[in-house]
Amino acid sequence: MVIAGVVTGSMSDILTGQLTLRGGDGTVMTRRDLTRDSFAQRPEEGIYAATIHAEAPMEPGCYDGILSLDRAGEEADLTIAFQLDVRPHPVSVLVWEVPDVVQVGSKASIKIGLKCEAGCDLSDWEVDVLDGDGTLLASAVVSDMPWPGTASLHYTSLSLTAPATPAMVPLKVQAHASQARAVQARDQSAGPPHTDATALFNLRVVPAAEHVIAVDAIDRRSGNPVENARVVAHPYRTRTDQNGYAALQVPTGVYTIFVSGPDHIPVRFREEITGAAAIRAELDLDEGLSDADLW
Amino acid sequence: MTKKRDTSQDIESAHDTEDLGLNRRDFLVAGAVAGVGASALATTDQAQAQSATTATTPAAETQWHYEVDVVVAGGGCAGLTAAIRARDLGASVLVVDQNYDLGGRMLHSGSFLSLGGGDPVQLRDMAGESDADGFITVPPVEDPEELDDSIDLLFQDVTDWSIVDRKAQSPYRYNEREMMRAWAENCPATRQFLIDNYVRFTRVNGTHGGGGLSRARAPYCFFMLGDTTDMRAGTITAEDAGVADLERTSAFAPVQMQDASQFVGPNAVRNGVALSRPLEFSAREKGVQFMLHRHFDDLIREESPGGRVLGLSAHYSPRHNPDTGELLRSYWQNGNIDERRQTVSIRARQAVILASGGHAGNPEFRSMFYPALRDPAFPTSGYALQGPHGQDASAMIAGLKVGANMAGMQQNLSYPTTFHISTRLGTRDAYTTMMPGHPTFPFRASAGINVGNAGFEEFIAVNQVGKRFFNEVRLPIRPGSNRYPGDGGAPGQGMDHTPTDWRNCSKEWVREMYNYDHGLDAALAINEGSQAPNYYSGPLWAIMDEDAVRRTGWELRFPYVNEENGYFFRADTIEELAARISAGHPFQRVPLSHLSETVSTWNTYVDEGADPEFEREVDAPMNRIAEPPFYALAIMVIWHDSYGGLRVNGQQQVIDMQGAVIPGLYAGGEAVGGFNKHGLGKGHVHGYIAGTYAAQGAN
Repeated sequence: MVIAGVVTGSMSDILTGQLTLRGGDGTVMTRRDLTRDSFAQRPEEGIYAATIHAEAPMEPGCYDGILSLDRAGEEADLTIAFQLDVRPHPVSVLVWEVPDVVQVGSKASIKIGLKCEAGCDLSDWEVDVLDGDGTLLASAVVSDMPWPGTASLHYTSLSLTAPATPAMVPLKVQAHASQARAVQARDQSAGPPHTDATALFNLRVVPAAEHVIAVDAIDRRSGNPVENARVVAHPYRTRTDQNGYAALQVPTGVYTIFVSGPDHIPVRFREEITGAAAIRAELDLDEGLSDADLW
Repeated sequence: MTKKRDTSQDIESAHDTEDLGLNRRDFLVAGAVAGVGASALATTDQAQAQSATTATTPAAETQWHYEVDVVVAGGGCAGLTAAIRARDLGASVLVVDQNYDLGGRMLHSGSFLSLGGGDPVQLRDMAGESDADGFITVPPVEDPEELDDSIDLLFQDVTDWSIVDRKAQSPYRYNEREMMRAWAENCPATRQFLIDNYVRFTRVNGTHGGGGLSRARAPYCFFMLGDTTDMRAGTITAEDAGVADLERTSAFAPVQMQDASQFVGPNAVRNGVALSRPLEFSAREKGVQFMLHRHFDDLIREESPGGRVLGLSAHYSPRHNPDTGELLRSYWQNGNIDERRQTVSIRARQAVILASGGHAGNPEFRSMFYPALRDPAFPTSGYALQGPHGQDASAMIAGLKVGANMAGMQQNLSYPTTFHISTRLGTRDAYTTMMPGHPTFPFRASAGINVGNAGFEEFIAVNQVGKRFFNEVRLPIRPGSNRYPGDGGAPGQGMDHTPTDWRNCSKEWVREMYNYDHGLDAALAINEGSQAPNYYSGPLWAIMDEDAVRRTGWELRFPYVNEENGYFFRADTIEELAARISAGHPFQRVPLSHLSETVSTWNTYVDEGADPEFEREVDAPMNRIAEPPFYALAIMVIWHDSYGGLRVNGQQQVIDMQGAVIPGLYAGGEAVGGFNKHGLGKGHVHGYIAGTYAAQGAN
């Protein structure tokens, strides 16, 4: 973590000198000799600025500091005292690829990723999945490869077993440095400290499916099948194939069924499913305002 | 009486007037003034000493730099038409435009041009004939009875008190009647005028919003694809039309042209390029002069009571390529005057015509219609093409200074493309698309992704502090505008519509057809990030994850989006996304401190299948936002049309607060108020009328 101290003013006021950053006890953290070239113009503010950088202390806490400018030919230093609140690096925990539903007793695979907001490498951190009682259900170590498309989100896969009873099961992910890292941290050789991090997610456990809802998605105007239309009978989801067909397996119950997209306006049905069901969804293309309205 | 004119520049060095059919008498600039050589250029100091005179500066003190019969402020739809018309009637004409090129918003329009009253294109289609070149090979789209129009029917339609639209606004009852009558009477002649100036029209197919509910009155304008771009021949190359490469636009056409085969035949393309460029070509061919990079500032008027407008002042407003620093150049240069003095005063012997557009691009001015839209985060359309001075209310501001009256001040509330939420995300200039290749593309640096109304199902929309504020699926939906054949809100559609019938606005019917959800207004509402005195409410963000991108197939890459222009962001986490937006967007004035919580809460709603805040589950499926990376695309509020402006009479003369004509001053297009009709058809007829009377010196 970097501390930046900035001295500003009009160019005529800023002469050569020495900029010093000290801890509260007077210990010099860093020092920089200033020349005219040290200053960059901030035209929007009408000033010139020069900056000095130092690393923040590794130990979290509240610190006092002093920034001083000793100018050549001047008797008195310019000083400013400040306080610094040093905190551990925040860690974000992400959970994805959680299935919309998991049948009782089945396995579910999820992804968990970690990211240090300051950019530290968190590979070899551990993630634990706990239930509402705090019981450990699964544990893994994140890999050293970032998730595709991300810069530094290290991830792992975990497998969970659904309980035998249908329910919305609240779960918690707890991320922490590995034991080896913890030992290093005590020796203060493992880099800056990080927050422990948690994330909450739900696993919806459902009974075995009994019936099939067969959906045919058709473009109303052309009569052509609509591929990749979303079929949602909450919490069950699927998509249509190249023939505009999808089969959604659900237990007995009353469902609001949406068939929508891509590029089509959603169509909604309300159905009580007690056996095999078939739905023909005629979708209207989302044309928005016509050229006549826009232009 | 004015002093002798400044003689500091001989413009014959800038162009050859003989080739353009003019003589020196017509374009008087140089002359002998004691002590000043005719060939000496004005220095900057001299220009500053002869700085802009305003309406408050005595006209007697004005030192004129140019003198012509008719000066036109604005080279767009109304301005070019007025200029050509006045030139046709023998006037010398100079057009000043703040932009680097001509066309205004006409150039990036869709060219849907609604006139009527039995205009030549309606008659052509009624007879089942083709156009003069024989390009049109498809039969008429409308039946003869749908085209059987008259000036009286047209006038009745555009002053119909009984029409109420689906926002419960009345588009026609507040139109200025004298102006509407003159407009209706001149529609046929204007259509012929456009045809005579190289504009080619497709089959009529419907009518434009504000053009009436009784008949079909609007065709598009088209070119035929060919080996050359030739305005006389009516052809354009695929490259110039922007259809050779879907990710390139040309300097000729800022918006890629669309397929017009349905209304013409194979190989036809359409949009505003097929209207603007032919008119511009004709204007240059006929000897209209242009001063570009030149912003109209003020009118110069005689001091006597009811004094005449003598001319205008305009300052140099150059536009440069932001990457190279080069001065942008118009596509054609013949007829351009390369004037670079800071300010010039131009005398109009007969008239000044104000056609410099509306107020949609001026946050301060437009805030009189909707205070929340004082927010500079939300631009007007064509921001890149026209620059920051586009639609800046210059005509209204200058008119008000000389005591002009205003009209139609409530009409901004009606049309669906005045202020609205755009479905094109990830770019500031969200009303149109534009690809690399056009000189102004660097000003926007991304084309944007048009997700359509249906696309709003795929993400959440958040305000400037990162909170959801409305049902996303309902957010972009706008009711259709009032036009033939429907859906203008009238109970009788198409030929079944009954004009001026009280049942068109019975309260029972209005309750039944009202169809507006006020999502835009929720977006602009005061939120905890809004700060006094302006209480800005923008920007707005579409937040989505990688799964949304995968299931929709949206191409989040250049040129559609750009991670460097501040309107698209990508991050590993939601927290990082919020930080990047705060650091990178020019109008993110407060942190998105609620964004993480909003996404977490949303995911809970998805799991539960219910959105207690905005009932999203009623309208469309809900999707989690969970898979990294995460994306934020700017959702823009765009103000496109301007309604409400200068009051004019049937000759397009500007009227003052006492109801008197301001001598020597005309106005047209979106500078004029009291005419609730979308764009082109209004501007062209205004220009035709104004050019006619200005040239004839009706005053």
